[in-house]
Amino acid sequence: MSRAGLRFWSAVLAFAVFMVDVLTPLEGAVAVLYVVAILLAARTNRRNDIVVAATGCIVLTVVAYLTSHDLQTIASPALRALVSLAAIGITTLLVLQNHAATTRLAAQARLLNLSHDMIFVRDRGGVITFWNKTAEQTYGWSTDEAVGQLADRLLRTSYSERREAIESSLLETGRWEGRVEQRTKAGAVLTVDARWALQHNHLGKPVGVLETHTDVTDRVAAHNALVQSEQRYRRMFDASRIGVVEEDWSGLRAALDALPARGAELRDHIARHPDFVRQARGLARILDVNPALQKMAGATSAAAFIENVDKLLGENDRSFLDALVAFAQGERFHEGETELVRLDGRKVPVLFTITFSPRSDEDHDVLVFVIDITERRQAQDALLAAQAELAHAARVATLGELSASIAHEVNQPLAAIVTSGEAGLRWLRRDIPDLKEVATTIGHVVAQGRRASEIVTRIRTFLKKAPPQQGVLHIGEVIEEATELVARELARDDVALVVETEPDLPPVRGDRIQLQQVLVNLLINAGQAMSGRPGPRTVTLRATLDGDMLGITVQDSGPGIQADDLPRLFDPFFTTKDGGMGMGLAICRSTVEAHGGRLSVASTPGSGATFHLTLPHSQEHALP
Amino acid sequence: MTRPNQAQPPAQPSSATVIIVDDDAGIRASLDSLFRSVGLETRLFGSPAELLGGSLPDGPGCIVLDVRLPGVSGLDLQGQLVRQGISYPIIFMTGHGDIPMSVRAMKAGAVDFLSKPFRDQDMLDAVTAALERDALHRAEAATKDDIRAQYETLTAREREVMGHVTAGLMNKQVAALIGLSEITVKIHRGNVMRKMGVRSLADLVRKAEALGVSQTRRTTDQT
Repeated sequence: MSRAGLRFWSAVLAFAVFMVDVLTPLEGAVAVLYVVAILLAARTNRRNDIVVAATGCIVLTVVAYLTSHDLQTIASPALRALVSLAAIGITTLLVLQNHAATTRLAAQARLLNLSHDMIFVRDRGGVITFWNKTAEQTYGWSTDEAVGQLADRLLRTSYSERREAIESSLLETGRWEGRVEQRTKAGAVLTVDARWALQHNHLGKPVGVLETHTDVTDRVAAHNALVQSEQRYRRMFDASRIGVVEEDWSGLRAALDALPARGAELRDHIARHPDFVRQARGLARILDVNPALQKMAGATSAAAFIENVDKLLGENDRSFLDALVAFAQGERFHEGETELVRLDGRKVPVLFTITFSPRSDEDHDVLVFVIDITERRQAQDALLAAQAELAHAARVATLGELSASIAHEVNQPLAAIVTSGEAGLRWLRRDIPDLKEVATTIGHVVAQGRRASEIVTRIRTFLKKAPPQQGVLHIGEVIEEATELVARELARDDVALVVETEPDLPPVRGDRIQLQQVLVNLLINAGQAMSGRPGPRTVTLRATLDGDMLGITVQDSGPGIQADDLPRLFDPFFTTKDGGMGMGLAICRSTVEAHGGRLSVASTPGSGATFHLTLPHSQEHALP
Repeated sequence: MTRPNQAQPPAQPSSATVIIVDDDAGIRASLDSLFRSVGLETRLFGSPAELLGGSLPDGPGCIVLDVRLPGVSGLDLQGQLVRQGISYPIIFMTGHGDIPMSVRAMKAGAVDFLSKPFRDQDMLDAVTAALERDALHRAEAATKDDIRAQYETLTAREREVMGHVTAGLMNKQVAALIGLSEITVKIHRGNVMRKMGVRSLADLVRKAEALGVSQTRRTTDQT
């Protein structure tokens, strides 16, 4: 019944009692019935209603008495009125007391409802008598649905211990805590931390149990996931063929922070202080080493690895210096190559990646991944050797093409030597020897002898079978040497060679002979393209600075290259020459690309071809 | 070709000149020294173009030429020299035995063909032979010039008489042929003998042959 309804019926009842009291001649304490009206009003649970009802009832009782009996006699009617008033008063008092207690309880229940835990009260028989808001929300049953149900059956609670044992422990200590699984109305399984407290009545007899349950499903799932993840990573760590080191670099961070240099200056500063690098290496504390890395290093255990770490890392401070700078500058990871010195002294080339934590307060968690690249290195070396072999074969073939010119070129100084020597003898054998002329002829002999020797040296150098050597070269010198090798051949075909080299070109880094070979090939091709053709035959070789690259063009005035041939020109075994091997240009291109440059060709049939090659120039200064 | 004794200096006049054309300075210098050591004069040229543009000596000489020269080949140069009326004998040098080229060179009138490196004596013999050939050529050319000069002094009638006489006609026949008296023919004939500087008919006939005027009779017969 609504609050207004209660008030109405309470007022109606009070009025009815009043009417009976006034109009009927009943000799009795009819006014006692006012108590019922007050009790009705009390049902509204509002203190004011109780007070108003009580006051009204008292007034009505007094009015009824005065109307019926006046003040003439203070005999039995007065006594009855007093009894009624007393009843009304006592009832009001009790109702007010009860109201206060109810209010207090409601406040307590509200508090329980505020809790984030599911809280319910069950009696000793397991029947739910209280069910809080969180329980409604989490379990899914409303208070009305839950109250009166058996808690264990409703929630299908499963205990890890025997239920009886729990109950007896609860009775014994008054409390129980444990983890249980329960089901919601929707059927979901919850993992719940339970805390039970036994409630006693005023006699100390247990009457019910307050169960407080915390939903830890997510927390447990997260923890389980974490455990699984840990196990997964541990498996990776242990079973991976990639070497992994776990290191703590927090000491290093402190050391770096203490340095006076920052940002770009840091590298210079560290590079100038090798002692710091050595000391810093000691500060990178190794926490764990996986079996793969132990094996790579020839260590029998993580401890053996850690003990010998200085020996294992060798003297190559450079890669550590780079890593240090990357770390200081807040990089997420750093990659590099270095050499590991195994405990048996053998060197192992390795590729490593260091991953730093994005947060500097997690510097204790630095992971280094190490891959043994011995096989890759060997394959690379074999490839380089094969390339060098091929390039050498191509040089031999090239010189084979030039053999007629070379024979002539060597023959010239030899002929000059022979003739000068014979002329000298004639001057000497004259009746009066002309010693001045003799001296001149000997001078010729010496000069031509040197010249022959230089030619032989040039050819021998070109034919030398040596692994590629990286040097800092003046491109002008390379061009000069290449043109010397082909000058005679070009002259033989009546090809004019024009060389235009921009002054003060920066040096390039690379292998002198390989670059010479590229130019020799391009020049010979240009000469052969024009051989036997009418009109002027000119090869123009230009070297210019082309932005951050060095550009060299070799241009001929020959017939040009057929459009169909252009895309295949650099393919191995593609040739337009009779008896050509088809490797020349393929080798040229791979050589130029190995030097970080590009080789391309442009041609308009009928008006010559232009080969264009670029090379990155070196920042270093050429060796004198 | 005869080979003179090595110790013997060649019997050339000191004014003979060897013209050396080679793009190789070392070769040029060594040949220069060699030829000068035997008393020959030399002229050095680095290319055919230099040779064609340069001044050449008047006296006897020969050219020593590298067969493979940049620009114009030695054989082409030979042709150009002939067109310019320069007729020095040419000795070719080659860096390596090139048979087709040497055959062509010889056919084109080369005196000799030497492979580098050559023996000095071979070169000197070749030069000697070339210079001899040039001298002979020059001597022949000089004789022919003299006869032509004598012939130029004859009158038209005297030339006519000379033609018939050297063709073997008697004075009487000549007189009948050209309608003169025998006496007059005799006088003309005497003038011819004197002006041509000969004493006998045989000498006159030789000179007429050198001049190419010995076929007058056939010409006359035909008219």
